[in-house]
Amino acid sequence: MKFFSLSYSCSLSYQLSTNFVSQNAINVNNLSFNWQINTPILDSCSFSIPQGEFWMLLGANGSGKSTLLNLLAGLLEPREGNIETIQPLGFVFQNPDRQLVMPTVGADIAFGLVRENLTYPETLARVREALNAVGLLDLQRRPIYALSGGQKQRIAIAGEIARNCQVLILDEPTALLDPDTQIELVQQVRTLVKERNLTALWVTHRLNELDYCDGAFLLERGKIGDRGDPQRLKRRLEKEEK
Amino acid sequence: MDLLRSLPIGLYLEHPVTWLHRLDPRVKLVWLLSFLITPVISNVNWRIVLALGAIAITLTARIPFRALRQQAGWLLIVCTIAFIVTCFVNDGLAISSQPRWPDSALAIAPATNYQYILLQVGRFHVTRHSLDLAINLSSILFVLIYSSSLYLLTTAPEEITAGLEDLMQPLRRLKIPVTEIALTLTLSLRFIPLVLEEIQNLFRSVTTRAINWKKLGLRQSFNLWLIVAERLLENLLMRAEQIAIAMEVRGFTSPDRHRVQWHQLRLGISDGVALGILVLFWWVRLVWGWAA
Ligand SMILES: Nc1ncnc2c1ncn2[C@@H]1O[C@H](COP(=O)(O)OP(=O)(O)OP(=O)(O)O)[C@@H](O)[C@H]1O
Ligand SMILES: [Mg+2]
Repeated sequence: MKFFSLSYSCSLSYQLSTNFVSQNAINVNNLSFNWQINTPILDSCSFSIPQGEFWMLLGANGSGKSTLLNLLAGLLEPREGNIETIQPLGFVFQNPDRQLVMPTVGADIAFGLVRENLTYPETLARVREALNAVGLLDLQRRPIYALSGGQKQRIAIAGEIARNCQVLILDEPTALLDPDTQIELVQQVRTLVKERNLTALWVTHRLNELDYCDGAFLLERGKIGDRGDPQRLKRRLEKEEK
Repeated sequence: MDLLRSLPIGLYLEHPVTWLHRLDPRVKLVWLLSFLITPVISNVNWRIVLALGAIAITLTARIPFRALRQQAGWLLIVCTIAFIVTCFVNDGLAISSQPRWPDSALAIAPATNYQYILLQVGRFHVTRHSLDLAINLSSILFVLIYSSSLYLLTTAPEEITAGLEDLMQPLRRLKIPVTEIALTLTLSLRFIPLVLEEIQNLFRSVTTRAINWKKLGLRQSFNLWLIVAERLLENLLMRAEQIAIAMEVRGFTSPDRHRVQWHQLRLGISDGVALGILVLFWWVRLVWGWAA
């Protein structure tokens, strides 16, 4: 497996010091999937994402990006091929209203922690830590309906961070946000990835978000059509758009 | 989301945290039930005491006016309308007073200044009985709505359901899935804003289409609304399914075990005090509060 040289000093030193040299957080091998017979959405698609990096996934409408993420999250069964990911894996949907299930912020984050059988003080500490990570500690008691779109999206991310997810996959999290909030969110996710040594796969249509990632894929006809330096991909797609 | 914001009740006030917020949700629930039950077959004095008591609680808790403005304004309007209407409409005691004696030149001075009809405005009059009814009705309306909305204002939705779940624990013996019921209730409290949003979106999509209702006729417009309702149901089911998927991804365990550890229910000193006052409250009601 060959990676493009996108060496960030922090992730590099981490990898060397813990002997995790080029360990991948996500490995996908020859993955195939189709909704209907004879129209494959994914056609022996293979890729991998190194641990501690922030990657983006691009592709035309209907190219199968959401399908791929659902497969990664285990919501769908692949027809062929296999997927290896570090667990736990967190999923952030395009529409946060679909993700946030409890009436207020704190309770919503606590929802994902039930499985671990924590005591009340432990839960509280985890929730506060996660809210602090996304910079929304003072919204702990707010009802979800009283949040803005960007805040909802950050709460959704905090919920996955509280669960100690090592891998985050985000399906067009900025699609419903205005340009300023959009850039804020990308920056925040980037900071989280770098500070906590997480791995993130982010689906997007907006090319300016490519400035913040470590690498990018292009999904075309069920395969990874192009991959590597985000700036090169950005230039290529901008040219194609014209 | 303006439909939601204009709703008169059920908005949780997260800030500032008042002493009402700090009371245990179960204690508050028992108090609320007392406020709802005691006005039944009680005298007017008791209801006025309740109304003033509810206002006194609001004042001592220093609940900011902005939180109450919308709800209180709406409530006052409803109560005033109820008061005025019941005052003036026929009081149901169908008496048209007729002198028992033929008119005589002798005017007998009344023994007291008692008068059944208190106020006469044209054809309408306020009688003693209708005034009684009006005070009864408007005070009961005020107490019921105001106390419920005070409760919802100072208790987070999942705190309410956690309290209910705890109070329902004995039902577990009867094999009633208490945790599941509480969780369902909590999730539905989150779902209500989504339903409202969905209704609003659909409503907008109809209104922005410049439909000529006059031309459409009754049958056609009925059909149109049927389509809208069908669409609404479809969207809501889709939303519910999406939420179910999200719950699965986010580590949902199983309906009877998924107890979200968010509100710790523990009775403190202030809860003890509140319960003590509650006993006194019931005692006063049972001794002095009965309707004549
Ligand atoms: N539940 C489903 N049943 C049948 N076909 C589906 C289903 N979901 C998606 N598809 C089809 O699979 C293809 C890929 O859809 P997918 O949602 O993965 O695309 P996408 O890349 O996420 O698109 P977008 O950029 O619009 O989000 C589309 O042609 C779509 O019609
Ligand atoms: Mg998609």
